[in-house]
Amino acid sequence: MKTQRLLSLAIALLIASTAAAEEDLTDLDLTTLMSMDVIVTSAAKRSQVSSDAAAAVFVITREDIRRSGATMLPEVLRLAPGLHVARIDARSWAVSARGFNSRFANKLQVLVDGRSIYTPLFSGVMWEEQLVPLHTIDRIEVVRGPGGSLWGINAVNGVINIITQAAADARGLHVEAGGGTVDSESSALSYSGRSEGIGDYRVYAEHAHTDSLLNSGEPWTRTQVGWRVDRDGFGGVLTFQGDVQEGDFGDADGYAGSNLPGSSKTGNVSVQWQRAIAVGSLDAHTYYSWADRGLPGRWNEATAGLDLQLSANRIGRHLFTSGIGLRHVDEEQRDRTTRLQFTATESSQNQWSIYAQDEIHFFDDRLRVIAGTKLEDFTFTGLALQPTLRALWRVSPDQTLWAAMSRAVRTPSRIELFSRVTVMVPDVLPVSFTLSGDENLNEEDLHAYELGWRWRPDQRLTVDAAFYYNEYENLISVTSQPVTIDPGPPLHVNKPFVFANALDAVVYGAEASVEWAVTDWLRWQVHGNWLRMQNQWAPVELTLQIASDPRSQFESRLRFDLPYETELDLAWRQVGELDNYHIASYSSLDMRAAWHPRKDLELSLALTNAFDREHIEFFDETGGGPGARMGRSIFGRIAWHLGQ
Amino acid sequence: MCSVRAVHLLAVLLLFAAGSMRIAQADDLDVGREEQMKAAYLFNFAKFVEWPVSAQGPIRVCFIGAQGVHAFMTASAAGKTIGARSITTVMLQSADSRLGCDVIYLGASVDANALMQDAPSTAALTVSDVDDFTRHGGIIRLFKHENRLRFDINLDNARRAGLKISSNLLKLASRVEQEAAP
Repeated sequence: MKTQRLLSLAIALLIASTAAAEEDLTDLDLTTLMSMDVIVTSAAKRSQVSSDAAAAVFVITREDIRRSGATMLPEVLRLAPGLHVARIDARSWAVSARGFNSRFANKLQVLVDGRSIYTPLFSGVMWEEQLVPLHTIDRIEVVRGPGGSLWGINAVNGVINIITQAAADARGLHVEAGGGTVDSESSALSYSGRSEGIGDYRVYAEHAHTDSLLNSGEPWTRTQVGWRVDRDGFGGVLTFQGDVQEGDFGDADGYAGSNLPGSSKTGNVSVQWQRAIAVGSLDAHTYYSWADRGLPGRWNEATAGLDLQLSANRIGRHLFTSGIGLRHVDEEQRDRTTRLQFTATESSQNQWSIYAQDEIHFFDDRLRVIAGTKLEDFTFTGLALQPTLRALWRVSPDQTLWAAMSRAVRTPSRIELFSRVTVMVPDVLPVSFTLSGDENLNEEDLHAYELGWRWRPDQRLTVDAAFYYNEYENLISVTSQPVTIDPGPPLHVNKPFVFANALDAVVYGAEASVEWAVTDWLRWQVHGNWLRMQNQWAPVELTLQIASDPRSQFESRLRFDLPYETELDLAWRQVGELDNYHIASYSSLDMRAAWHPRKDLELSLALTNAFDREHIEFFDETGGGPGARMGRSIFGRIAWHLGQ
Repeated sequence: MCSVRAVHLLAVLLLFAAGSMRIAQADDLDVGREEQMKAAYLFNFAKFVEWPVSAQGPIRVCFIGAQGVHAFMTASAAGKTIGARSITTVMLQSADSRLGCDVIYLGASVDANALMQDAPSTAALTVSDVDDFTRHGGIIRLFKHENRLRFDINLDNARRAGLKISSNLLKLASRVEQEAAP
């Protein structure tokens, strides 16, 4: 009791001493308060309200996820403006922001609870391995634009941070089961409770199976189990998490003619610690993740990371954030008898980074200037500096303008550095093709200029727009080399291709989103983005550009809350054509209806592509043909929550 | 690679074991911002309430649990007035008397609903972020919806406490509960 009094006094003094300098929310009227997001953390790597972020941020909430009827993470990402999400087959997606989309898109930094989930194999995300149970996600923060100064290499076109609920947030047992025409079965179970010895905990298990989609790929079965514990410790809050996943994609019968892995086993464990100290708050995060992939080549990967950040309280006009990070990755190719060879079958890479950012307030907090930089060292390319300069101007209580100038860097992936693939054409012709990596590749470079506008006239209407102009240099792509004669035996002609920093490009565009609570029972969200890309080829002749983006996308969603505890959700999207792959533009109407016969029970039915206009969304880069044809599909689900 | 994994797992387990201290309800990691916003809401609620004429002197805002919200409220209410009344904040224990409080904020870490059952209804604005608070006699319940703070108001409980709530506040509530007029 006495300690509690002392503790609260201490906290009061602590906060009182900094509160004068910190923003005072009690000055705001209730209407303004109600239009503010409680938290957004990815834009400045510390808690802030999303309208204060000098970046193009969008938060996908729990409700958004539930009402979308999505069963998989990449499908949920369609809700954010500025992301191009294209489904290739049962378990492959191409996801990117602001250009350069590909199944192996490499310009996005994606994290789950602060743990980076991209694989250094191709600097991208294996979406089929990311099975965070959707009902445990608290929110997904999508930041478009370079985040290199805070999030480091790879955060070139954007940062996606998937944040799961704290263990205390949904006590009790939660069960979900469903099935449909494409996702033939899907079930998830989670239990969350509290134990005096452990703290707040959650455990979950999920299992799902997706049939092979029309004309492409294999069926996909996956299982994941995980846990989370939140408790007090060392004067702060400790969070422990871990997951183990296993996926089966049917047989991997070689490189050409099928999608890559036949199976994957992945897992991770992480610890996070957050504590308020005299000058601010301290965040420490360490994680270990591993993957065993049945790629042609039987691929093993292990990553260990450590991040430390100090978010200082306001000192005068300054809000200072600083941190260091370490990351170590080991990769090993177990089975060397396959076509996909690597010059280095085992490799280790290390990164250390240090970053600092200062946010300076002027004119009674109406103008903020943010300057920050990250210095990073990466094994194969050396030091990289990623600075950013941003400004946020509160034009009026309901309008904000922001601008940003940044540099971001993408380091080459293992495939780009070390791979060697040789394809012999069937023995009739003495021809072979080789694709080789280059150990001396440099990093890709981006200089980005952005401008944004936010208008929130009241708690019912939000308008957000962002404009960007990106200059890329030294983009890594495949270039062709002159034909050579290979003595063999047997004597044959060889056409080599090599990864090189051969491409410069300029990409510019705009993204806009509007959210309007029309009435208490009707909500309308609409967003669109436009993109133009200009490529400049380097002297070395360029033949393959593995990327394709639509020039425009548009999506409109209506959310109806109807009588008798029912809901109706309509989503219509229109995606432009993909020039490079000659894939036509398409539109799709998705519908979802749900009924809550009791407060803790939900029955829902989702109809995707209601008009059955079969469309193809992307190119299958590994199979060498168009991706799966998406037709109409239905999915029904029951979700039941026992407990609080 | 095996040994790295083993060492790392060991380190995690050690940290876990060593961290056993008094277990209180672990808050969401981004606790500061949410508590700051709740304090701001509480301050605003007090602006929209009419206490009985007999209420004089500073507005006493009492907290049970919710140290963070108490701290933010204390810091930001300093020197401010609502109407002509200044604001004082008090931290109470569960067993302490709640008489004399004009506003009572109960944190989620205490069994707010049980506390409401025990105490006689006082002339205070009761606010909490606990589920079902209004069903147990509470007047305003705070909750997060789509990453924004919202609130429900129970008018019957407000009437029982002798308080009048401005229609401007009722307009902003997600739900206003009252039994149908006879």
